[in-house]
Amino acid sequence: MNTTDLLFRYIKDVGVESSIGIIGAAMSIAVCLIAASRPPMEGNGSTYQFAVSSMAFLVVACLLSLCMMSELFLKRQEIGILRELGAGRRVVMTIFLSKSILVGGLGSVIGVLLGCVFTIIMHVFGQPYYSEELILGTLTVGSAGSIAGGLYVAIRASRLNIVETIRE
Amino acid sequence: MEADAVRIRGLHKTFGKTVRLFGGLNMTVKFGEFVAVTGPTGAGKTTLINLISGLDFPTEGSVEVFGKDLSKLTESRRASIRAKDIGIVFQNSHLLSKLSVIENVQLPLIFSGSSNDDRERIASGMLELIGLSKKKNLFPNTLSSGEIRKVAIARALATDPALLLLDEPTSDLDTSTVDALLPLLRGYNYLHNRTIVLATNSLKLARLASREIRLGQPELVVNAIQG
Repeated sequence: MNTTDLLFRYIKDVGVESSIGIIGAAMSIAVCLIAASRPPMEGNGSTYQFAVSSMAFLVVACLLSLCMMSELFLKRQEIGILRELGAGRRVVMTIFLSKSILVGGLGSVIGVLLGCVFTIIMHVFGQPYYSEELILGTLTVGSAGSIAGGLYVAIRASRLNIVETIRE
Repeated sequence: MEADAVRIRGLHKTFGKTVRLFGGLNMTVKFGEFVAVTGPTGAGKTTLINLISGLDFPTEGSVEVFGKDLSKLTESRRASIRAKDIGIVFQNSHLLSKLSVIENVQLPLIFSGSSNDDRERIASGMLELIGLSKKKNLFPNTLSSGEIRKVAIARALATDPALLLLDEPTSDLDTSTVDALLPLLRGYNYLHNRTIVLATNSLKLARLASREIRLGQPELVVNAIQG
């Protein structure tokens, strides 16, 4: 076993909180894609898309940080033991940030696929409008949200009081 | 002249406003010495182990390990010292349930930067030494408490640390397991000339050490309790 194996062991452990993160991110990104693909008839379309993307970014970031916080709560003692054995803050941050990016990234991809399917279905009621740029933009929003949400938790995880966590 | 392994000066540790430990403790542990820290429950034996390992910090005073004041080092430097130079065995063993026995033993070797081949070889060797090589692929929840403690000791010794910290390593173990562990600890100190600080309430274990440091009762701040 090496550091990568150890990280992988923690990242691949998908529990309820990770599943909720994936589903939540997918729903947010799908809604973002559907909404952004149909700019209002009047007014500035790019401002509207920016507002929708910002909302999606915030929702994904908050959701991912909540899910990762719950994961951190469950893994507090293990993190404390790793730190006690000499793992640096960087190792702990990598575990949480990688997992957040994986969960958010997976959710974003599923969300884009769902969004595209919904837009095609809605074609019956109007002209679908999604381009490669819009899909890439939506994936970027999802990934950025995952990084922002994960980074907050990763920093908190790396600053846990080791003595308190291993005493629990 | 070589620095002491552990040098503690004017140590005070306060918990909340009510409990004060150590009362300005001064102690020195020389390289290759085997010291037993004894004292009543609540005297601060585990806290002292935490302070020496850099997991906790004194309220007053200084704790120097290998000539370095731990509270003045960066967190990554303290982690590096723990990974390479200090082996710790805690009362609750602290094995990770997700990892197999051999993977648990490999953990400190990962953080100390050993190569893949070394990690496998050293971890297998340590398990052979404690007689658990046949159980190397099992998970901790399938082991007895004695075996778990042995794995924790093997893990602490895996990096061949210059300083071994043991916190009640034989609590809730049967006599035969304790008898098997004692020569291992004595040999590590005597044959390998490694420093051992052992926190224990066991007289049998304390007798192994070349010196005993007895901690006093914790000081209770009465005004704070009443206030």
